[in-house]
Amino acid sequence: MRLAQRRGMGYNKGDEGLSVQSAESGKGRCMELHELKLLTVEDEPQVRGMICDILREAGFRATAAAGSCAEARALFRQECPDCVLLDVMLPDGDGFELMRELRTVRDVPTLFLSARDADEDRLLGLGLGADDYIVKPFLPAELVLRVGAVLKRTYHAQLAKQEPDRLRLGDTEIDWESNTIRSPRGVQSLTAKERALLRCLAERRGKIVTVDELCRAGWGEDFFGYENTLMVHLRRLRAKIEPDPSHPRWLLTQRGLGYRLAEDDAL
Amino acid sequence: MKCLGKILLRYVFSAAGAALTLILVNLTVFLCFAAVNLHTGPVFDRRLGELAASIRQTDAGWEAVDGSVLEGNFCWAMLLSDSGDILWSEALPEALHRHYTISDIASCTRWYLSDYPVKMWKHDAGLFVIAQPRGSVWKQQMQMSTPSMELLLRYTLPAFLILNAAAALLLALAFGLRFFRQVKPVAQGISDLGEQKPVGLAEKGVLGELSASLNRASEQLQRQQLLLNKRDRTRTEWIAGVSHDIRTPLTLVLGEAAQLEGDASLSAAARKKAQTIRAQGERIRALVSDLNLASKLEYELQPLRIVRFRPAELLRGTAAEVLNEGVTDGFTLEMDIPLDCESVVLEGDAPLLTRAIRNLAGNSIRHNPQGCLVTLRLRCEGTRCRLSVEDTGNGFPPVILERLRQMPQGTLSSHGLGLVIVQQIARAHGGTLLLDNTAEGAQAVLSLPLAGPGKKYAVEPRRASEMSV
Repeated sequence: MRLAQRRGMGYNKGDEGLSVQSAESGKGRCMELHELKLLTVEDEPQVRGMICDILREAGFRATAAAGSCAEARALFRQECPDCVLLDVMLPDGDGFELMRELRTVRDVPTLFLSARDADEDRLLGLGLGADDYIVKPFLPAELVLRVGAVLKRTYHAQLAKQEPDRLRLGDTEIDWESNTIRSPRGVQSLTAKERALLRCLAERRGKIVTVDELCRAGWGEDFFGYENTLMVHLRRLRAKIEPDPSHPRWLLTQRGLGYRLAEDDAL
Repeated sequence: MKCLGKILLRYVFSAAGAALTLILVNLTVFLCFAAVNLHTGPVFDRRLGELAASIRQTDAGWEAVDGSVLEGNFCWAMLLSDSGDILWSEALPEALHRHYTISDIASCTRWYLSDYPVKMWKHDAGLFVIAQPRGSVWKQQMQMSTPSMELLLRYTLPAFLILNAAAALLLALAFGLRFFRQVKPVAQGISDLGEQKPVGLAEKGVLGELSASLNRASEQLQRQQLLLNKRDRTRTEWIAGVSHDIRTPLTLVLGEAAQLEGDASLSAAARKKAQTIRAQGERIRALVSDLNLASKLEYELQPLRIVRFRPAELLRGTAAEVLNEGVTDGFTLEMDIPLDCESVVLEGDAPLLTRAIRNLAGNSIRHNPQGCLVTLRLRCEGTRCRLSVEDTGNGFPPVILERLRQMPQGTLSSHGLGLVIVQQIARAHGGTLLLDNTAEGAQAVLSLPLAGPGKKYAVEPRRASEMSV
């Protein structure tokens, strides 16, 4: 039953009521991420069905699917998707060509789905302007994460601020907009370098960020030789965000490698 | 082409030498012949004097002391008085018994007397005349002015020799150059053949047959090279095609399994099974991509994207990547990067080298399920930069170690594909992979040349750490 539904072509209406708004009509007002319309172009019906299924399960309510370039063209005009997931090999054409063609109609973010290593070379080498590419086989979580990231990046301005842009470290809260740190110990401000470094760590919270990456975030490409300066900045940052800077709870040192911003439930 | 010039020079000199030798030999033979022929002259003339002297006046008139003066090939002789009368004769033909005038004598001195070649010698009583048979001697008078003779001896002869030598040299050079011009394309063809370039020579002239053979050899080589390339490419394309075909169904396996794994309505046991399917699916995914990369590297179809990078940064980044993806408890990752290695810059394909280090670290983790300490070490000494992954685990099984060490280039062993890829990546960068067991565990050293081909070694000036407030 589910499979049959998945195999169906065309528009997959998860929720009829909410799929009416297109990107154009949504402009100027706040949208939700999951309201954005996606178009999947993939010739393998089962894979196509699975992708739509994964996206719907992730909360995307409007997912169209096409099996060929011709179908994709028709759906693109008809449904005005906000983002296109394109297979590189299609029965009646090349995904790269199709992207170029669709972009002349309307500039929408495009993600490539590719099953060939050679495509990776082309995407990297030619800089075709794809927003991302996913190599098959992929894990559902990976797909959702990549699509979400592209959508957030592209529709940043239109998207409703679901939550204020803040970083929470226990009882300490960092407000990126005002560059302030609020904690029971008082209110402090972040310097530009501290903000850049903390932001870099927060974007990959829970993961190790090497000193090289931190230096690059703070001083740009020509960062070599700033390791000692980096340490000074991070010491100051600790004094601001850590309840006990000599026994850091959030900004953890990974010996020989770099630093890690602990996740909320880490301790 | 240099050797061809040498050959030409040697040819010219040997040809000129041969010509000169011939001239000298001829001259010598001619001179010897002349000397031998002339030799008879003076001896004969001296003998003539003796013969003349042997005719003396006795009481019975003139007669030869020895009875006869006719020796050798002389056929008759006579003694003339100053007035032209015959005083004595021996075997004188009847027609010649006569009186001789001064003009007769003058004529026969230079030429012949009744066709008899005659020689004369002064005698006390007059003139001694002795003759050889008719037709036995050829006489020719030769005269030359003295300055001409001097010129001949002083200048003409040496000039003759020098001019001949020069002419011989020039001729040899001309022929040599012609030959050189003919041989040059053939030599170029042989050189091209060595460099696997196509050879197309004109099949004309003396060397036509040689050129034709060369052309044929070149065609054969080109055809074989083309076949080899095609075979390699076909094999790689085939592997790429198979990988592509595997990836599509694998997408479904992975996707569906992952969805089942996260399906809260299923039992824990079912979700566990789905997790196993997903994990194995991911392993197949890694294998497919390894196989693809290995085949591309093997046949040099993987283009290297050479960038400048710091190995210290690459090693740290790889370690962070491994740790961020999550390693099970029991594993510790340590970095050992001396301060003076921090600034070293290499050129190479950084993502590929990251892959190599990841494979090595992944091996240490996968083959030591009980957990161990993995150390990523960087050493830069002399002309080499060594990136090593060492662990305190079980070490390589001796059989595997032996097999990996002896693996000749050009074999795609499916066993330990991860290590094969590391080895290929090392080779593509002009480096080596050394595998060994230490007292603690396994050690893999990726040794890359600092100043090898396509690689440059530079030390960035270390910036004085600035303190911003």
